[in-house]
Amino acid sequence: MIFKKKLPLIVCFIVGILTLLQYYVPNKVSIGYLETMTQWDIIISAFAFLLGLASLFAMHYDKIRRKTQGWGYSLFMFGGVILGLTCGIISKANQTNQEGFITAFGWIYNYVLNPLQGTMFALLAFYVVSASFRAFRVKSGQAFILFLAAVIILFGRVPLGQLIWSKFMSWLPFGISEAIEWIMNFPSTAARRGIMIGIALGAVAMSLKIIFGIEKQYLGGKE
Amino acid sequence: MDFTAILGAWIAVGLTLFILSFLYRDNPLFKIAENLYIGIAIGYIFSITIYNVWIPKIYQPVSNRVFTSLSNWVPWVSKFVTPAGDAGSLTPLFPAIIGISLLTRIFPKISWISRYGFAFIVGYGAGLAIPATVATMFIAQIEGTIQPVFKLASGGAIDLSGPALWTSFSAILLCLGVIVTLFYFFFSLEHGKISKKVTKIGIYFLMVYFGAAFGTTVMGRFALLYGRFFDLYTYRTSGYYHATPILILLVLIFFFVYFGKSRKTSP
Repeated sequence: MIFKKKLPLIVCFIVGILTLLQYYVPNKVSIGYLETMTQWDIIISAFAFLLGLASLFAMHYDKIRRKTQGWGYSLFMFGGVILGLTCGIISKANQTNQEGFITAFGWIYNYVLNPLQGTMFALLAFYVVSASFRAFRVKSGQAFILFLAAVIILFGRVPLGQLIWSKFMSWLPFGISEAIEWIMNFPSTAARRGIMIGIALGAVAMSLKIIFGIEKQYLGGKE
Repeated sequence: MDFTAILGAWIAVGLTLFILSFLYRDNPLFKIAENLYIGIAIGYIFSITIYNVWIPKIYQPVSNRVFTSLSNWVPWVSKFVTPAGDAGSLTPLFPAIIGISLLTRIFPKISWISRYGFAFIVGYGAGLAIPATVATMFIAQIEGTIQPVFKLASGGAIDLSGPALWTSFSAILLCLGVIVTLFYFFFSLEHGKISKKVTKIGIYFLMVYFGAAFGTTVMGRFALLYGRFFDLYTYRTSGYYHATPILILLVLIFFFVYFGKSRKTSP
């Protein structure tokens, strides 16, 4: 029981309290502590990445072994890992060599990873637009404000919107760029700050709960 | 044109079209690209982890220390192995052991050992988060909200000319906006008649923020889309052996064959 539950909580408490205190007691020892712990955290996180990798591999291997529907696609996942890793090892994870030429690792990034990542996120543009048709039904004053802010930001940043503004809204003493800047800097920032302050209070409360062992979900398991 | 650039262009166009094909319907081409994306991304991050963490932060210091100690005890070792860099250190073994303990999560019987690794990561993160959050997300935000209003109050006579009046109005609006937004999230007391009106104003500020955030997100996504279309446009030329039109045609042929077949087989 002590080794399974209490000692990990004590480790969390000691590491948490020492890390918290080092910020408020700046001296040679606390700076050295932070530097060492940061290096330790990087090393441990590298192993945490391995844990995620093992979990993903197990899932896809199981799919292939059982020949469940769509198991063939898992082969592409493994193929991708082998390809990415091989290119990384050949190029020692450098995108360009000493002569400035692109390496296999850089090639994989430019022609495979970047297009895949860019298109995957760009795909969301279509769904966001279709979602906006539902979200922008102006049924109340609040919905109208949401619609107005989004439309000004969207149209104000493209040439067509700027043209429309200059044609029909030129009687106003400010341009669309100024309007966007004002919205972003004042009413939008006000709400963002309110949310951020709330998040900060929540994060501090949660961190204290973790350090003092009240929150222990991260331990996992029943024992 | 370099062969690797041409090959890269064909692969980039193909994968872009495979993913965009999802706009019509879920299909095998999209699933291939999706799984390949996960695999390549993992391989890429794994390589970076090996060369930025495991080799320089664990292997090199530990092996240097081991070889230095060995060559002190057994002098002939230094004839065969010369440690690169300094004398090294065995200290990285401690976090490495804690890190390895995380991997025991895979084996249910000894998974409790992984708690030490998680306790370290979570405790360190929590300890680091408190001062960082208080400084940047709490004090700095309050300071940024109050300072413009404070400047107005300490400036002596209030300037009522156009631009100065607008600046003053904006500063007060910002301060009030933060207060009413916070008021909206304050649930410790039941909202009465007046406070309900205040929270309603808070909702208006939140709506402006959500609208602005929505607009910015959409613009970001479209910027990515322009980038992809720009690549498709660039790779259409004879220099790339017309990669874009040929691959669009091939994807369309695949669609006709694949979906034509599934339409025939479906009852």
